[in-house]
Amino acid sequence: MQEKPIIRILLAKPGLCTHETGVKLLAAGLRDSGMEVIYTGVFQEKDNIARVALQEDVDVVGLSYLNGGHVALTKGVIGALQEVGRGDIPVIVGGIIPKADIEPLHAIGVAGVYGPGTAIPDIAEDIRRIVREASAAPALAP
Amino acid sequence: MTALPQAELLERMRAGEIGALARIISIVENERPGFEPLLRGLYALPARSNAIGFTGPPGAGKSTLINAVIRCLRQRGKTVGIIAVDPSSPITGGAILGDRIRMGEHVKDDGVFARSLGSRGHLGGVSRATRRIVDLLRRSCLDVVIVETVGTGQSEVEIAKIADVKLVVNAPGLGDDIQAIKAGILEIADIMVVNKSDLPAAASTKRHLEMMLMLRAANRDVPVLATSPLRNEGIEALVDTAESLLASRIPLDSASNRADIRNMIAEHVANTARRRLGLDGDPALAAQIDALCDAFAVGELGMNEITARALRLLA
Amino acid sequence: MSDNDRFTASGIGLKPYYTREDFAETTEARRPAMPGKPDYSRGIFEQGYRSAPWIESFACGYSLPEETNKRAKFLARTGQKGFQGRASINLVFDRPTFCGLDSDHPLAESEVGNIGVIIDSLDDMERLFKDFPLDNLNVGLIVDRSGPFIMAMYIALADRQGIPRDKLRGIVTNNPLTDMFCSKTPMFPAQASMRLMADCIAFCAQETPKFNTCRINAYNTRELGANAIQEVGFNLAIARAVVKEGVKLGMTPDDVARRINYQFSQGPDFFEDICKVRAARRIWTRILIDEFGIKDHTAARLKIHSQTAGSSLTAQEPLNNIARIAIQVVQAALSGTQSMHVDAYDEALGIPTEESVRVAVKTSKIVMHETGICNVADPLGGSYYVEALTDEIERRCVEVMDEVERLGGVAVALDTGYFEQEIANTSYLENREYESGRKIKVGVNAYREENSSSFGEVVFRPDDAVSAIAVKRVKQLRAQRDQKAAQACIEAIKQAVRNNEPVMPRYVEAAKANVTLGEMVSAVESVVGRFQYMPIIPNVA
Repeated sequence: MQEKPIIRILLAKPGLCTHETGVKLLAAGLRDSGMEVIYTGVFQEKDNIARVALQEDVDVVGLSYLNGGHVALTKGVIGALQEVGRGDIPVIVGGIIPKADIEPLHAIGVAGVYGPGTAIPDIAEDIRRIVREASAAPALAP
Repeated sequence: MTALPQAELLERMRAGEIGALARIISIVENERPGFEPLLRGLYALPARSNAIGFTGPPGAGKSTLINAVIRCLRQRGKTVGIIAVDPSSPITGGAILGDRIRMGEHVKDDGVFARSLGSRGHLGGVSRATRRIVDLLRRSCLDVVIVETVGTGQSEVEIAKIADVKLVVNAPGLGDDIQAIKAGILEIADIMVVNKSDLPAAASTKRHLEMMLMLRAANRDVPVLATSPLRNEGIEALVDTAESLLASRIPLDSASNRADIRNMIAEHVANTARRRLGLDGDPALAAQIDALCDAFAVGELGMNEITARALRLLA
Repeated sequence: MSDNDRFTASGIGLKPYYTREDFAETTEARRPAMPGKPDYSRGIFEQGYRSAPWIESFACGYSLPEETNKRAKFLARTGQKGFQGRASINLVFDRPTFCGLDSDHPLAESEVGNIGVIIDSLDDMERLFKDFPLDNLNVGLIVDRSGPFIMAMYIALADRQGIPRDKLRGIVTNNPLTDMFCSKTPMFPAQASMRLMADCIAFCAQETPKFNTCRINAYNTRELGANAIQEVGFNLAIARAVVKEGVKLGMTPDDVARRINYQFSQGPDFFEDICKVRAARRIWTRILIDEFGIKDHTAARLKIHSQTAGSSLTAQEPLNNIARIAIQVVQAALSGTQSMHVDAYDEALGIPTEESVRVAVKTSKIVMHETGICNVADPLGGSYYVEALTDEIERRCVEVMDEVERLGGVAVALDTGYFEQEIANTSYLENREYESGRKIKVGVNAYREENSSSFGEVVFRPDDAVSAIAVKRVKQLRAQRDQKAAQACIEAIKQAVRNNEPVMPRYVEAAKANVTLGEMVSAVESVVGRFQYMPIIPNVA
């Protein structure tokens, strides 16, 4: 048995935003902190993200945005995850997020929101906490 | 997700439920509690598909080729499972996984299941878990299983143990061409592929490979096939050749391979013995083992005799 | 490495001071005495900024075309000036337009008008340029892969308004080679992209000779995380490939070179970012003269648009950005740029406000009028350090270009993800410097205020009604136009692409027949297909 389960995270860029520098650094940083990272690349439709999350059985889904549109697009991804029966996978969001949008993101079920300049080790720590809490939570029927 | 009884999970997987297949893979990969009865239940099921292995140096265009092969298999009405193995960092255990296979047009296709795995500390990149997961896919709802590893030298040799047909993919322009192919690869190849055959240097790469095969893979008839996913050339022929080779092979399924099972048993016996001989064994046994230790310490008994007695105690 | 060692941002080791001895003899021998003479490292005009200061070409664009039209008028009132006092609009289009999608495309949902202006059709172009006579305008069309299509719409608009095509001035981004690893919009496969790019350059060389029709957007490379050496080296290699592609279509190298315009970043290393521009001009001139054999040396002048580095701005304590930007404007001026976009201090947070844009325009004006920089061409010329650093950057850039050739050229480098991988690795290593505190970003990893947050206020956001209006407009247009004519134009585009015939004239006709941007792009895609991206992650540790 694994000493400590390896966290599997899916990183994706929904919509048409192609500013990838941040999410790539995050992918490399999470790899360096011992996670298995699956990065989908740009132009991801919500249904595709959900399908990949389902097949890869990831522990958490991370979405990156720099274009605005994050609330609507994230809502779509969460809905798509529910549709494939994996509404239990926590979703986190990072990028250029105005203060005023943090609360609405939490309200639609986002587990963590990270602004620009957040140190990657801090994000990694928070992901571990989120995954720990999610696996401790009472399981939901698929 | 709820913890489902093993049998129900397997049943759902056989019925084609992707979520169930994905979860079983995780249980097996992480050897989570309950994975052993699950494996038992799994190996009781008949395997129903073959595995094709793709390996070769980075830059050979494996992923693009695999996407083209999947397209061809789908046109022939086959469902496809793909396992992509990427190296894990030996230091942190982290990895960037299989994103390449996601870029194809197959992500929307219910007939294609893709899963990426980290090599997780196994040097060659193909872990024990990989073998079990391939066995698993052979028993799921899929018609063909594809295993992709990045050519790092060792992984090609390991892939030979789990894939029924091994394709080694190369392409023109990878630096000093053939030097990109490390020793050992030619020996395991069932089919040698010259990918990106639309590039001008493809013909000479092909000739070079044929010569190398003549020198190094004596007595084996290894076809060298040219493919161009860009122009959709050579893909049908490649799939035809792979399928005809598969038809002439006994499947390499671990469950039907005695040598393999023997290894698994040996590993398991060792683990069991280690656990029971350890400090948390039952007290009656522990006293007897302690006596053996003392006998060894004063030179009363040799290691061979001790081992024989220990095995009798454990029986 | 000791604590006392110093490096430029790209990693060039520096001496404590420089002397005359640091100039290589060979470079000294061919060093031009004067600005305005080949190799143009000291600038492309002898008079520097005396005859004309830099063009202020501030990127602007959001929401519906009439909203952007208002912002452009605001910029004009604030004092933004183009070439010889013309009006100047440097337009940024929204993501769906960048990607070649109409506003009613399912993928465009929640992206319409967010970070650029919405253009679906010729009608939208008419709304956008209302009250700006095209023959008295410097226009920038920043629209990445949709460049040729939007350029065709711009020409169609001139035709509709009866303005001679050769009176049009400006720049259109039309460089799929850099876009393939930087902006990463959906793209035609590499070879088709290159041919269609050259098709646009060739057509415009005839029809709109005062228009720059290929932007080498080195800036985007830098924003992706490249260092100054990669920014110059990779992009000069790409520009060389552009010239070759144009020559394939029967143009002369001079003719292609005149249509090319570069965009460089002015970022966080004052001297390196100035010297890289001097080195770039020198290398480019040499390529054109020695390699392509151009006779008229004025065609070998490398024309530059500079942008202050967006990636150097911080969401934390955004007012600090005003200081960063002002310094970068000085750098751009000292590098001898032809035009400039000055970032607004809140640009790290979203579409800038009117107030922050006003500060940006005034920053340019302050450097122009209150520093004396414009009085003398290349005021840094002859500085021991500047000349030695220029030489060293030149040497390293040539090395990078040679490496690209060794790999098999730009097409192979694109195909194998070479550029993107190299840049991703650079950016990864750079980020580690900041995370470890070895490099300092004021207000982010040092000198932080107690309550500073990386979550800013909402600076600007188009309301949902905008998207609804755009969708309604494009649907209505498609329903009401002459269907037969539109379909015929779409077929004509496909045919031209299939037969390798000039396709720009077909786009212009299609725009006039109210064929939308998305329809034109799909028509081409139906013939040539689409490029498949592979995600590339740093692979150094």
